[in-house]
Amino acid sequence: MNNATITVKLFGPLRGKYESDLTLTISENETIQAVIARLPIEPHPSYLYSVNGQHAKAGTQLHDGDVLMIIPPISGG
Amino acid sequence: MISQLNNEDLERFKRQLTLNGYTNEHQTKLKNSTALIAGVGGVGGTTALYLAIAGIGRLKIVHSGVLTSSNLNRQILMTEDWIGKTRVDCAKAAIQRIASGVQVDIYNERMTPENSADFVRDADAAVSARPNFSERCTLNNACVQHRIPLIEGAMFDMDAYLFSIKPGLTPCYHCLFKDADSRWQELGFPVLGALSGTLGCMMAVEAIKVITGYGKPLFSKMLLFNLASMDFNMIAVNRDPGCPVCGALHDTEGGKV
Repeated sequence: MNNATITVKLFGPLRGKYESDLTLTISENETIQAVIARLPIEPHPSYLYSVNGQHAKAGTQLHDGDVLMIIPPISGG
Repeated sequence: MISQLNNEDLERFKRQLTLNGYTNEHQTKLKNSTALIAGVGGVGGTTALYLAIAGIGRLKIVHSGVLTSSNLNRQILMTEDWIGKTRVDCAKAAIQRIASGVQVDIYNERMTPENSADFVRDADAAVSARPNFSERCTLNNACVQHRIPLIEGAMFDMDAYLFSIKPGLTPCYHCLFKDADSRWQELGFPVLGALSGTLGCMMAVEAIKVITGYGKPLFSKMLLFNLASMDFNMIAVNRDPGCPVCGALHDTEGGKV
């Protein structure tokens, strides 16, 4: 199976120790859900995802060059 | 009855009346409009202030609790001499010192399923700036039910996002965030006043656009930014056809705008 290089942008409390975007090498067509399992973050049903600026779902498959954003709900007001 | 712009209005707002595409008609709409501000902290207080000086006719401010010294790094309407007193009173006094013509109605309460309909019913737009998910969800539900446009914005640390909701046309809050995050601490999130103020200003711009029809609101779009890196991103967001809050609404049933 081919590899794919993607960029992951974590948001809000998920950013944690990461000061900048992450570059990951994954398998082509790997899902967002599978990518999250690679990261030191807890999965949560309330996360919002986008791939290349478009709304995505946990089962969305990723491809080489994709930019994934993982956005938890935040509530600072 | 519509209140027209008078000579004092034309002088006071003449610099924004020369904005590209912004007309006396937009300003008249603003003068005759009501915005509900749910939360008058670092974000909502800034939004309220900038709506007031832009010439909105009426603000309804809902926020419970008293001022503490730890609020003062961001809550621009508050003053040191008010510590220990209710925040909505200080917010009203501050706004009316700067923009005495604005009607400011204040409620020292939280948004609840019992009171939210009364708060939103006569508003032309609502601003969501409470520091917890339950009040944001309650406000969203009431706005969808009464077809009131809602400006939604939130921050954490140096990150923030905002989007505008037109019930029946755009995703509502529940379409995007199904569940609260139980790890969230209402009084524990890190915040720099300049960031909450930036977000509050952006929400004021969104409210003005939604109310007056000027410009292009963030409908079905979310703006996310991090001010530590000045990284700005815009994403498209979709309605959930199965959303239990707004799924039954169709485009033709959209809000007041």
